[in-house]
Amino acid sequence: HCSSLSAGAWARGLLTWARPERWLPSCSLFPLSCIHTSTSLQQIGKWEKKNRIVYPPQLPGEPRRPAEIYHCRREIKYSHAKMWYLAKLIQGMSIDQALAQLEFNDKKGAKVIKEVLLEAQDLAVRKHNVEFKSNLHIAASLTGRGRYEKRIRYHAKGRFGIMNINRCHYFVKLVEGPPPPPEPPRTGFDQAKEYVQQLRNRTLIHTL
Amino acid sequence: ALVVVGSPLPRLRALLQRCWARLERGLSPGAFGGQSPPWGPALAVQAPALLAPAVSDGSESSAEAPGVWESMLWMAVPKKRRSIEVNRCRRRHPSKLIKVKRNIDVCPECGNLKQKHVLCGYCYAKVKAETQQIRMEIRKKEGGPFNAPTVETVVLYDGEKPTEKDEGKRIIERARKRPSWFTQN
Repeated sequence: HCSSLSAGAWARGLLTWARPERWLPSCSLFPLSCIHTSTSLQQIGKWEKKNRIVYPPQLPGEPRRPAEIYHCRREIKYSHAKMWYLAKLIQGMSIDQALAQLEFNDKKGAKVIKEVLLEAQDLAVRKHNVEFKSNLHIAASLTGRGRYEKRIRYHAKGRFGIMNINRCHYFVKLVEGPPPPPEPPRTGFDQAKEYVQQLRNRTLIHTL
Repeated sequence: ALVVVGSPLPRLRALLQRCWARLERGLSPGAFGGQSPPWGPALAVQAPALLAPAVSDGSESSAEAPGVWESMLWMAVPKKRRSIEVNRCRRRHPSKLIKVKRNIDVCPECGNLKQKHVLCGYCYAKVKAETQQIRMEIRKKEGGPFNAPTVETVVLYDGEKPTEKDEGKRIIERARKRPSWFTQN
C-alpha cells in the first residue's frame, strides 16, 4: 500500500502543474470533433480560449468558486500607451464604478472600453451563470500592442517623416463578487516592524 | 518671414544674404530628404556635416564654415538614450495617471448617471429633441427668414385651449401629449 500512497502523491504533484481541466473542453469524449478548421478569424487568441476551461464539479464542502469571464477586443484603432492609462484606472473597481468613471472620461478609448465591459457583463449573465450583473468586479484589465503599419507623414518643403498607425488590443477579466478591499498603504511603522524582524532573523553561520 | 532687402549699401546686403543663408542652413539641413529612398529617415535635427556642401551657395566663402559649426552647438540634444525603466518612472508617475472622479451622481428624473455640476445628458437630449420639433413648427408658421413676430410665443399641446393670459401671444400647436417636464404657465 506504500506504493499506492507514493503513486497518489505523484499524481497529486502532477495535477498541480498539469491541470487536465484545461485540456478537456466541454466535449471531452471525442477530441477529434473539436478540431477547428481554419476560419477567417485566422487565430483564436489565448485570451478567448480562457473562457473554455471547464472545472470538475466542486465537492460539497468546498467554498463556491467565483465565476470568471474573459473578454477582449482586438485591433482597436487607438494607441497602446494611451489605452494603458484607462486600463490602469479600471483595475480593481466594481463594474458599476468602472462604467461611471468611463462615461465621464473624455478619451476615445473610454468609449471603446465601456462597450467591451457592457458586452462582457451581458456574456456573464447569459452564458456564465452569473446571477446579478452588478455583482462583478474587474480582476484584470490589460492592453496589448496590435498590428502597426508604417505610413509617410508629409511635412513642409518636401520633407517627410514615417508615422505609425497604432492599434491596440484590450483584455478584461471579470470575476463575480464584490471588489477586494484596497491594500492599506505601507506606513513608516510597518517598515520599521519589517526592519526589526529582519534584524531578529539574523543567525550565526558556520558555528556550533 | 520675408525680409525685403532694399538697402543701397552692397556690403550690408551681402552680410544680410550671408546671415539669411546661415539661418536657412541651420534650420533645414535635411532639404534633400524628399528625394532619398522612401524609407530613408528624414533628418530634421542637427547633422550639418553630411549636408553642408549640398546646398551650395556661390557667395559663401570657405571661411564661413567654422561660423556655421559654432551656430550649431547651442542646440539642446539628449546625451544618452533614456532606458525603459526611466521612461516607465516618468510615464507611470501618479501625476500622470487618470484621477478617479468623485463627483458622479444619479439623476433623480431618469436614473442615468450625471456629474454634479453638469446637466443630465439624457434629460438634456430629451429636451433638445422636443425643442427641435417646436422650432420646426415655428419655421412652418413663419415661412421664411426675418418673419419673427414681436409678441411672445406660447406652445400648446393636444387638447389645450389658450387662456386669458395668452391673449396677444403667438400660439404654436404641437400634436402630442404634453411632456411631464414641460409645465404649463
